[in-house]
Amino acid sequence: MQEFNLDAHLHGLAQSGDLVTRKLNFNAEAAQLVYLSSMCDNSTIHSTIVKPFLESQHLSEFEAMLQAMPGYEQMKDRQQLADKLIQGYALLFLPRETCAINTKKPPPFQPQKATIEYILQGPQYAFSEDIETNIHIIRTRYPLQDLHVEYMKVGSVSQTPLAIVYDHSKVNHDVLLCLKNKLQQVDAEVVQASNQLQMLITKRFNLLPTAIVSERPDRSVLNLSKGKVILILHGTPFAIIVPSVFFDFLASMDDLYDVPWFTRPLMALRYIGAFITTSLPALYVATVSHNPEIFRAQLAIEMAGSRAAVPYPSFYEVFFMLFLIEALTEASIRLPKYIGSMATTVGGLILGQAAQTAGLVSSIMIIVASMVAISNFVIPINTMNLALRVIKFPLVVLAIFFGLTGVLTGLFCFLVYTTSLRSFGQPYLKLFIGEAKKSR
Amino acid sequence: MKHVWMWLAVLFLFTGCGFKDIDKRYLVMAVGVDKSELKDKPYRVSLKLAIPTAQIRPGQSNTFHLISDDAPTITEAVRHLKSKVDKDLDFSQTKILVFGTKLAEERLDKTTIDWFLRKPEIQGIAFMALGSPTAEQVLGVRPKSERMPADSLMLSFDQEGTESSFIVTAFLFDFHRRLSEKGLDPYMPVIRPLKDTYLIDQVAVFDKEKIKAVLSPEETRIFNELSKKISNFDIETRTEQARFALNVTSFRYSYEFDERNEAEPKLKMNVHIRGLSEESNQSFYNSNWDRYKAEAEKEAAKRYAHVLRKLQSLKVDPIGFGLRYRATHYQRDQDWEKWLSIYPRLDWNIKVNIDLLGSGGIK
Repeated sequence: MQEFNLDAHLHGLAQSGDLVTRKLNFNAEAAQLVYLSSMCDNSTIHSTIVKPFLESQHLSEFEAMLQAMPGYEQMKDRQQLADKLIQGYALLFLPRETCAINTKKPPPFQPQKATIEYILQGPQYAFSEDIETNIHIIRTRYPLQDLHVEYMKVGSVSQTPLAIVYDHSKVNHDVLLCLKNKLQQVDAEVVQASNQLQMLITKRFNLLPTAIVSERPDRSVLNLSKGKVILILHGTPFAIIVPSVFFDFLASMDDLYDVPWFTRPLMALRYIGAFITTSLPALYVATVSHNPEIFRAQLAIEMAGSRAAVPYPSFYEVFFMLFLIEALTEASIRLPKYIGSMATTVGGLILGQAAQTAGLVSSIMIIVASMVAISNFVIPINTMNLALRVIKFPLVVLAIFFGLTGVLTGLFCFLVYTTSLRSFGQPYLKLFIGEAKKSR
Repeated sequence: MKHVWMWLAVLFLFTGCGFKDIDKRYLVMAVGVDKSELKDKPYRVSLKLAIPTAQIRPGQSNTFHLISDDAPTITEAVRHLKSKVDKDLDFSQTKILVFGTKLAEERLDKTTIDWFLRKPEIQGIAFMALGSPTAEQVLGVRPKSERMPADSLMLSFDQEGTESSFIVTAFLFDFHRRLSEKGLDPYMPVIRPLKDTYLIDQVAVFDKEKIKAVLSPEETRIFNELSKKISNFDIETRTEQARFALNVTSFRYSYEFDERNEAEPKLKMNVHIRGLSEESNQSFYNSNWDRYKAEAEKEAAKRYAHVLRKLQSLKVDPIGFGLRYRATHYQRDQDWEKWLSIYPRLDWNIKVNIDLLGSGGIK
């Protein structure tokens, strides 16, 4: 009996530290068991391979038992051996054949609590990072025959599994076709995040996102029932919903779960918040430096009084405060949770107060800056959040040079731009009147 | 890209006065125009400039800077006043325009207020008033409760603060309209400065050119009722039989011209008043209300007739009877001439109808 030469079969992996080889001896013959300990589940190996081995007298008996096991595959192509090994298969080199048995570890992914799109009363768990778990979640919540799941891979190197999920009876097939075309054209090497994929299938330099990236299964399922397509990327707990229009980004799932007396005003609040966060700094510059006539007399005097200590023109203090706010937001994301709260206290309260006392900014500007920051966070979807954070800066520049006229022109241009956007062929500012009734 | 630059270039034309921070502007809260002593510089313009404060405190934050200058025109005066201050004069908050009595007695017409109408920052809703004796003295008063300069005057006129039946309100746009409208004459409240406050209880009536007369406070109140149809006033009845005051809750009147007798044109006016008795020298819950009502009606009709006759004798028409006549008796250009001949002969036929809602007492 010749010695088993691992290197001949698995050239690249032979030196790997987590490679385990076992020799299973029968009277005259021997089988070779090879697996990667990091990818395989010990108890599965025990029950599917080791136990039949111990119970069988002859090699033929062992072979028959193996063939009955779930996940048994006979390997004809020697080139695929390494691939199977990496995917979590255990390889058995028998004298007459080679077979692979699926002994993959169950995924360690559990659905996590929703943290980004948190809502008070409603489903509390978000997607997990595992594609199968996520599809399991969707199938449970949407148990219909029409639910189609198509798998594909994106990323020429990463080969990240991607699932396209849609309700076949409701989906808009033009959108589906358009989406598949876009997915075919993705030529990135490594795709690891839903946001990244969202950018790859839409235009990269769009000012506004045209596909929702959401961590909420209930939002995904609701959109499925509306005929939209859900993309689930392996390795991230976020689903991409296409097509998405502007109004989707300002809707929270709470809107469906609470009484309209409460949710309608909240919805209005979000739109007001979106307006404030984009245009308030620009309006401040425009009114304080170009058109103070729109204030009431008392406010004008107070503003002039609070600005009297500030030696720089109004746009300096606006940029100073906006920088502070953006830095603060960024810092509180990067910092660990416990230090993060301290950063906001230091930044928000102490720095703001001190900047005003030192005469760097006026007290009204502090209010403007905090309003901008707070209003920004009432927008439920993070990508829209970021987009609106960016838009305020060009508006401020317009306000510096052109005053209120400039701000209005800027907002108008922004509106024109938004109208011109399409999300997978669908108008971005489309209204869905009457459609909400079905989902109540 | 070419289009974007072109748009930006066009935008520059619409920006108004350009970039100037609010703290580099001196807010003009009130403008006063007087007649000056100098012959070649007839206008004395005073500006009440607000000194800004970060915190509004009643009685403390109403600090102001009063500057005046004599010049041949208001434009010239303002231009010269700019050299007396360190910041840019900003008229966007100017809500009070005060004119001196002497100026108004001589001439106050379209040419006088032309500057205010042309200045784009000054709003048409600015309040106009007559300063007695001078506008400068009115602007110089610093009332004790004021939150910011000229705030007292604004609150007095805009009906947000005090709602006095003695205070007549005149807007710039309205005054301007009345200066040119046939059959509707302008008027202005008269502000008299006291030590720490103002007294606004008179009205000056104008023809199209200058002041005709200043009505007494009692007449002013009736004038206010007739011209603005305000309903927060009271009627005092003082006769031998009864002496009581009536607090009016609703007030309206209608009138029509009666020209059946060409020689004696009449104006029939029906006044409807609803009110509660407020103050009385005897309890009249159990007595006959109708008697008191009749007394009050007679007394009220007398008051209205008095004021209307006075206006008639002054040949002014701030209530707008002439305008109504022109509207209802259209005859190209002749209606106006006809009205001019009718108005001095007009006989006032006033009927007051009082609805006494209660005696005002708790039994």
